[in-house]
Amino acid sequence: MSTSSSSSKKIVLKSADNETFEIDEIVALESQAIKNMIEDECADNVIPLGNIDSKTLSKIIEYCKKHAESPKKDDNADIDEKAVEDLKSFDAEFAKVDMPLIQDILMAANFLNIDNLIGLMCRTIADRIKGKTPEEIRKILNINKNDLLSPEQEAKAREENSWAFD
Amino acid sequence: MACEEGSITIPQDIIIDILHHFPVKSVGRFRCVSKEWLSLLTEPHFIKTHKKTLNNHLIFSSNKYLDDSIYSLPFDNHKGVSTLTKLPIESRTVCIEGSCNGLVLVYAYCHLRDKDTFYVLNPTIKDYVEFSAGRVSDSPFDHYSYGKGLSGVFVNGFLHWIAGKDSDHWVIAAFGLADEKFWEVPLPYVYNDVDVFSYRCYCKLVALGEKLAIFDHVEGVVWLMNEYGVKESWTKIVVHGFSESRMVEPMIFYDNGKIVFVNRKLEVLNHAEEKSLGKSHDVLWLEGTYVESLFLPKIGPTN
Repeated sequence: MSTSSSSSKKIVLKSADNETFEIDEIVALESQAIKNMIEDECADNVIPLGNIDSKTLSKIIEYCKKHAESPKKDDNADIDEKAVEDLKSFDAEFAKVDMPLIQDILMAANFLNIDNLIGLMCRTIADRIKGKTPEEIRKILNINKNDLLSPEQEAKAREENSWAFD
Repeated sequence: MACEEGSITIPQDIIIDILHHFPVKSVGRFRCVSKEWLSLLTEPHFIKTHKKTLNNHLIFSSNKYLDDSIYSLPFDNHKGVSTLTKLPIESRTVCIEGSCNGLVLVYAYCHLRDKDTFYVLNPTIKDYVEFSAGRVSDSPFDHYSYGKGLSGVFVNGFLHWIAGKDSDHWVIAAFGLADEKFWEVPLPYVYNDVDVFSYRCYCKLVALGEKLAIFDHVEGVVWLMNEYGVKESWTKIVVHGFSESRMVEPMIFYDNGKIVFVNRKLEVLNHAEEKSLGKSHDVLWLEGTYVESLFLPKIGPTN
């Protein structure tokens, strides 16, 4: 890894709605996709992100900033616990958004290849459907009507999985 | 990102990723959500790769007259005893032979038909397959060992037994299920030339987590092989205070990274937080433990 760049180097990201965000390179490096572009020297001054809107992009930058500033676990084994707790509560706050935004962040994080953020969004979705009934999950995830089981199919599935409904 | 107003659409591979992390019971309920989820969650590949939740359950047989049933009980550090679920095998003399990957091998003798049968039981999904002889196909590990009193301890793709060698000492024999070959697992270094199996009848092999261990239930000593097959990796764990409690042949298992001892009367020994599981069930006899899984093998035609 050649991350010996000076901390003052800036990267500009451009959202789908043509808003530009100037960020420190170290923040941009949280994205594996951007990191690869920079390392391959195919990143111009401005990186266009045609499939990410400015609302989503600013959330993602907020996340990357915080995580770039926090001391990394592998840097120091006995990293101070306060920093870990701090990052945890930041993540918890960060995830308190509505489902459409969670989806947009997840898709963008997937595109930008930010592992921690993909994980956080997946855990958030998991938390929101945990312990929910099939009816509630259909609502939360807006399951397409064409994809619903017929009453007979559903009765059969419930019968076969009755052990899960105890 | 293009999406209908208010709806959220998550690509299938991410959905699968998310669903992999749910416990077995949630997966069962989620099968009723939609056609897509039903097919995703019943797909053999999903079932095999679904992360086994490491919720430990204790398994019991009942010694109440004419009720030779099998029961299970979730073992939970914080809650203690909760519901007993009666499992689907009944009315026989039953014996638990062993368990691995969420499956329990049960031997049952039917008095009326004077016939003995083996079952591979998945207590979580309350389903089982029966066989009298022959092979189990479509298993995650290609084979199972069976035969009353012969079941080996399964670790790292090998079955293990304490076996005699050259009529004067004991070794750990291993049988590889992939290559169907036997080999001998190196024993720990011991001082003063004392054989680790000198009191062999008090020693048994156990699987702790994914590791092979030797458990001496009189001395209260556990030998844990940290790195499979590496002689130097055997670690001796002495359980303090073990000899003070009255032992009724304790069981040993792994729960959230801790070694836990439970005796037949359901008293938890050597457990940091709790001394007891709460109450003892007089009619029950602790036989073993299992973890939750979705898997049940298919039994091929018997020969």
